[in-house]
Amino acid sequence: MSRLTLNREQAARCVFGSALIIIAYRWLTHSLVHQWQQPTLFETDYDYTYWAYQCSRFAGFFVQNKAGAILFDLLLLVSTAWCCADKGRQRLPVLFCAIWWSLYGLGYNSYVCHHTDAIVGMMVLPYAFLARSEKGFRLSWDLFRYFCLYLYTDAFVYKAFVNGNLFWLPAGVELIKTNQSHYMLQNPGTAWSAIYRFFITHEGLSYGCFAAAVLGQGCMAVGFFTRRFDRWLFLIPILFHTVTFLFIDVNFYELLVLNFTLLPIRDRAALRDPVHLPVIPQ
Amino acid sequence: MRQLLSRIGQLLSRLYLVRCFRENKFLFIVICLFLALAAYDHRTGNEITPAFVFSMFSQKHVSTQGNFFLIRVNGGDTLNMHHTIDEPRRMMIFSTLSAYHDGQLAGPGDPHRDAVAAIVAKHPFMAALSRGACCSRADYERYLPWLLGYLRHAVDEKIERIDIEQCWFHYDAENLPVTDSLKPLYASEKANRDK
Repeated sequence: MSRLTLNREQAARCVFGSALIIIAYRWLTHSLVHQWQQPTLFETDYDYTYWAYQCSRFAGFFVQNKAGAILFDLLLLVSTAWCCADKGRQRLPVLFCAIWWSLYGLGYNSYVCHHTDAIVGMMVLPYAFLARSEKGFRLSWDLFRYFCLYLYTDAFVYKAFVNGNLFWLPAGVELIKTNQSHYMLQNPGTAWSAIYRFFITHEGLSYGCFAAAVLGQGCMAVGFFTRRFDRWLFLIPILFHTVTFLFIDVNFYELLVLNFTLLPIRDRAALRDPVHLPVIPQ
Repeated sequence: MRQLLSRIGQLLSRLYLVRCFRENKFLFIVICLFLALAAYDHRTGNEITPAFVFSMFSQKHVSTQGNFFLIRVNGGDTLNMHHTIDEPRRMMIFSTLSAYHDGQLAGPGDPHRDAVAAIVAKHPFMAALSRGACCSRADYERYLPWLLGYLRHAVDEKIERIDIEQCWFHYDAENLPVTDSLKPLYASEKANRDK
């Protein structure tokens, strides 16, 4: 992994390329705006951003209107593809794309009546490419690196110190029970049901896996003090979301777009001027 | 002493927030705002920004019994969308169904309406914004035909009728789920829409 570094243009390709993959995934799972079929219910909780979103005429035109919804998705696709092809060099398309992803996230979280972090990465990361200078870009890219670290560290703090289920032996079993009961009752004869049964009946093993995953989240705090371990921290969210995907029926892979911020960024100049290239020990 | 102060100054100047303050005041303000919102988030337990949902999967909850929704299609099999990869589509179906059921239990109407009214009574300037905070009764009335339409679009065009049941279950001595009962709740049909 020692050669894995990004410059601004490569970072743009990674982010907007991932966004295109997310669009394809969302299309296949019938969750693009035009596929929502003009939903009726929404949830705002007590977040005034959602109140403002529902209060504006935006949802009326781009969600409740069939042609508007198709237009929304087309603009999302075109702006993302543009930014990917252009490597995020033009600020106006980047701004448009960033706003459109934020609106998509707001709309999706609102109309599925459940607010999650899954789409948060794409809601915020494109704004990093609005920086004019290389220095400004590094500063905003770092902001999202800290944001990524904060998401996992905060989750660890909640599990360890606020709600404290890290020190609660049934935590692993209860998470599987709560999230897999539907699957186990509808698919009792499958191999995965047998695996879940095994973990439910072995509380210590489930707790060990849960504690390891939560401690992995806690390790992300190291990134606040040093960048030396970023390449290893890069792997933690991948492992963590794989465990949650397999065992507690939660798909947060889209959030992994924030992981790109953990890869070292090098100047564009380093590509042109070999003097700036890092020396790789023989 | 001077050396120590200069060393501390060097360390401080390397801090991200200090660099931000020096190089980009706008970004600095955004960060301060986010930190303030996150602190308020944690203090009140309410979600403040869509960019940050906290405390997920951190509760201590013992599930001795529970329930979930089953959607029976065309009077026959139940909808079985078990794969986690299907989550966005599943959430469009089951999360909205759960919200609909909560609304039916609360009135019918938006379960948040009293809390929102209390916020507006306390902060009258929020009245205009609060118009978008709750679903109307008409939204709830249109839900079942919408769900049927979404299922026809996203799952199978041949779906003509859905019957929604609530499956109650408990965990046995070995901690495994066992069905207790099925309670019919709602139905919707294509030709004759809601019942």
